[in-house]
Amino acid sequence: MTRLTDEMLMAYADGALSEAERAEIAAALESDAEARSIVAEFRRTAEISRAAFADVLTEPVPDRLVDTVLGTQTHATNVVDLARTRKPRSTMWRTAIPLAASVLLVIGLAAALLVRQQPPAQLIALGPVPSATSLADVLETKPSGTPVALASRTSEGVDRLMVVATFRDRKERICREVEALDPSMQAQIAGVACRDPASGTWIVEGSARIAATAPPSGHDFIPSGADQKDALDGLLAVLGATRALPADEEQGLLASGWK
Amino acid sequence: MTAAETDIRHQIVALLPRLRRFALTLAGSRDLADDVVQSACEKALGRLDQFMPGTRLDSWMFQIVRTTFIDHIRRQKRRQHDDLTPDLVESLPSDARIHEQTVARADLAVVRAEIGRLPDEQREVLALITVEGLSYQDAADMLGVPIGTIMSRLSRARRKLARALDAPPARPGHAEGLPQ
Repeated sequence: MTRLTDEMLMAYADGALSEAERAEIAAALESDAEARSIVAEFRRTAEISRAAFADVLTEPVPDRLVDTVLGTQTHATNVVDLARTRKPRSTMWRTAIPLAASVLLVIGLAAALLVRQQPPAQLIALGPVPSATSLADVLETKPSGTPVALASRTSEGVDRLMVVATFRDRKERICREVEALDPSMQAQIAGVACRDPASGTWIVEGSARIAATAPPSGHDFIPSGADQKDALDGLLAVLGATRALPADEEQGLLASGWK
Repeated sequence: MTAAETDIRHQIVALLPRLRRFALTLAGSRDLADDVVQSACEKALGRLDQFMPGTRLDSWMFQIVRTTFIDHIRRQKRRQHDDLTPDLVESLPSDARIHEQTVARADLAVVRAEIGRLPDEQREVLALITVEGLSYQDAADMLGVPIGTIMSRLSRARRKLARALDAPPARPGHAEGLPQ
């Protein structure tokens, strides 16, 4: 008879056991209701602990931290006050972008509702975009508003990528807002990537899961969709995105390799 | 700056959201968390030569964030600032516009507050393993303690957290543990 310690039940709940150990505990649990409730409790504490800090992952990283790591010139020593800067800037950004793009933004961002909290989007993952990926190709070579099919539908349910708009950030870097769309052209993931002029690498500065569908009910900890939308709005504000480049200017930059 | 160094800097930038989350879980306040992450990044950049290529950069950075945070707390204690209560008001959600969101977010603020009340050694294993997803063994290696100790700390932390969250709130509608 296996004596079920808290540590064993936790490891079972966390999926940290070998197959043999897992099977042994699963068998012991069948006749032990109290142990089953402890396993459920361990699962719950894992879920709520992750949920409690999930919003930090999708909010923009303060400029000063990025500047510290990249060794770039600091233009603001303090954390940008997002609450104050985000709203007016994002409004300017919205109204200044071309109509076609703004319609997509409304679908993608303004009307966004979060499906539920999930790990950060893998397709548009934070950090440098590996070369020779669909995302790198779309960012480097495709004009705004042109959906590009992925090789296959991802586990996130999306099968195409599309740049929504191009702009220059405060550091004069070229940045592009990109969305991952499902087969019905609904944006599921949105992100902003900026091009490092020295290396030509695109770096995803932020991404968020978005979807124009209602969240499923019955989940205790559904952060609002507005959180993730705000995170992107805040990111655009931090980057200093005030207006999208006109199509002809974008075309010229595409043709010249962003020079 | 060599290409390898540029590459590692970009990798650290990509880790920043997780480093901030880890620091926030430890520190309980965003301002303090960002100060800790900034100091930790400065330290890391000063000793990039000590990072062994092929090992996990995230574990290395978490380690530096952790020691930076501990140093900070020690300094603070030396200065007799005994108010180490996490800044719970700051961690409370802002801009809650819709009622249901308010409820869900308040719950999460209570969770943060209760995590903030765990003993330091329990909170850090919760942060590393449960929130950041390190394995028990990776956390044991990082902290230099046996895996059994890690599992014992983590299970006690989570049972304590569950009990605290199940307890009826002293004042309904008010996040428990707020400093008065």
